[in-house]
Amino acid sequence: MDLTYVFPKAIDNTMRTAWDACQRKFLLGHIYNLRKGDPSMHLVFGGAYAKGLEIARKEFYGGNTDKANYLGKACIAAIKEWDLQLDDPLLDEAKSLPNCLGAILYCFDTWPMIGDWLTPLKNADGSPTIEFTFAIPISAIHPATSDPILYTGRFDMFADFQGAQALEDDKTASQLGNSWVNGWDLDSQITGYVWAGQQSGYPNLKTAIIRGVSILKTSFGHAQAIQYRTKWHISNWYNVLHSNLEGMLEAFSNGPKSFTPSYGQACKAYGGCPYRELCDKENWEKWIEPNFHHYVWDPLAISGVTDEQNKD
Amino acid sequence: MPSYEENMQKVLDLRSQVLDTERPDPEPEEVWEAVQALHATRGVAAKKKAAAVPVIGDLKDLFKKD
Repeated sequence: MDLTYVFPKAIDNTMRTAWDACQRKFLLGHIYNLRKGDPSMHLVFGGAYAKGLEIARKEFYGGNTDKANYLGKACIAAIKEWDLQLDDPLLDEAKSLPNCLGAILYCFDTWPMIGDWLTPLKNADGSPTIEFTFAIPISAIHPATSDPILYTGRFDMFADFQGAQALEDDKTASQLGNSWVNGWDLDSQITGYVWAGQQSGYPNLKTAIIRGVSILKTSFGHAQAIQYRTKWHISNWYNVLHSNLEGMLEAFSNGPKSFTPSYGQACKAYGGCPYRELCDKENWEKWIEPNFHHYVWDPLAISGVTDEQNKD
Repeated sequence: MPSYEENMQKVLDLRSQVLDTERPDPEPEEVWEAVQALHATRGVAAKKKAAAVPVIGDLKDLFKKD
């Protein structure tokens, strides 16, 4: 397999946290764009779940208040989204397609759109502010094109939250509780979302609401986290992002061998790093085929999972 | 009332219909109803499964000398 050594034009939170956890993981996943086997079950599940929620909200806030109709359409959209990624609807007992459809219904049973205290704002054309993607130039420069590198991402909704602006994002998880709720404090993904919202016409945005549904084999659960970000949080995050980018660009200019492996927590986190078997070889480049294939991480693809890799 | 397994089969049949490009999508209301029914019976199926597993006490009884 030919390895193409190209620095990404856009960086998102997944890539930044990969770099932060292990430079070798960033090299293999986001410069060489290597992936092992099928797409992550967690990403497939999260993507189908997010698609279902998007369609339900667009239908409802577009004027369709027939619950059986808009939730049925949401399920049909989720089935199609799942099939784009994975053939088998029952590969995982908990994170199966039928459970994904059930989780969509559960979400709207828990937080019914009729009477919800969180409602979307309106775009200039009057459409609801559902599904917000962003790609914002930052002050780091791409080594090949000399264009500014983009910071990208997507979240589920810009909303009115008791008269203030808030962003809303939906997550799935295997366990919810205090640690899940408190785990969003300082979370860089959320801080990046708030920054992106402020750069996109919502300068007073400070609040993020994260709604989580837990997926167990026999039941669902739910929790909600309300997060605030101050100017200081955002300024600090922005500095860290740029510091990380400086490190990435320096390592890139020094060549692939300068991306050092973690040999620590990142190797075993979330069930084990997918690149661990390569790091365990003296000449890992020779072991890429047939276990890994080339793919390009799409930072704007929908995914409602808690973490980019495996944290469920 | 259909069992969990029957409800699961119904959802999987509707999935097949959604993915079959030769057939129109099922009515959204039918899909919603099938998913509702499946998840209404999910807990029931789990309880039955749990009840069928022998507990340690039962196993001990198997080896008990009279």
